[in-house]
Amino acid sequence: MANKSTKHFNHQRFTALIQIPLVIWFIISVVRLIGASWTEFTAWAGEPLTALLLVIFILSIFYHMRLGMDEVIEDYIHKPAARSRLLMLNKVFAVILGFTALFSVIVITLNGTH
Amino acid sequence: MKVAMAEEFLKTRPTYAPDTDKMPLSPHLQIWKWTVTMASSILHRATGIALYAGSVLFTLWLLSAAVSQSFYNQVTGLLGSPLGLVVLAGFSWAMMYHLVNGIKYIIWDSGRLLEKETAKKVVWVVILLSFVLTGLLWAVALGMKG
Repeated sequence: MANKSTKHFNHQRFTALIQIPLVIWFIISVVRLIGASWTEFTAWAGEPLTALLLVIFILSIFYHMRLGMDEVIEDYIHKPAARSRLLMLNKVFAVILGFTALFSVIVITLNGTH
Repeated sequence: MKVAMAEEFLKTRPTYAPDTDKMPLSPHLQIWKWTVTMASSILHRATGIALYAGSVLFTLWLLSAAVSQSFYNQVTGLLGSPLGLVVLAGFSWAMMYHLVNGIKYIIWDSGRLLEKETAKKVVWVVILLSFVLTGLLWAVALGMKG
């Protein structure tokens, strides 16, 4: 239906809209957690609502971030080989980091139950 | 067949084709007169790239808490240091700028507030709002901490 660029545009705007309330929540949370002990932090992150918001936040920002960096690479890197390598690297970076963050939230949540 | 088509093209191509040697070069970045709208667009990218790097710290923060209490203490010790707090404040402003400026793009994309002088004013509002909202979020959060 929609071509690749339209999809890119729509996904970028969609994740951006989701992030408007999430970023506000995130900044307030981080500032509140300055100086929090490990027990306080894991209790916060392990709450079902917090964990859910963190998961949505993580999925949205890492995808949005990858789309944005794709644009930068496509604008400035003109050699086809270097460009496709960097695009791949960008994807790998976002996927690895995103899943590490997701995995961490899951571990914290599971640890909280015992 | 292809040769014939090429010859046909050469015969019939428009004679008003531009003489590329005499065409002016598109000005490079250092030639442009700086405008606020251009600066705000560059700043959108710059904050985006900074936040991309910042996602490493975000992940490290979550990961450290998942790994162990001592790792968490080390990481938050760095993040909570005076320098760490300055970095954190910077990232929170970068997020708010990217957010408010992103909303500006959504409004501009709908064709609204694009008139030259209006667009300039919108940029100043975005910059002002990014600082005001960052301050407000910190104030609210610190107030909640008590």
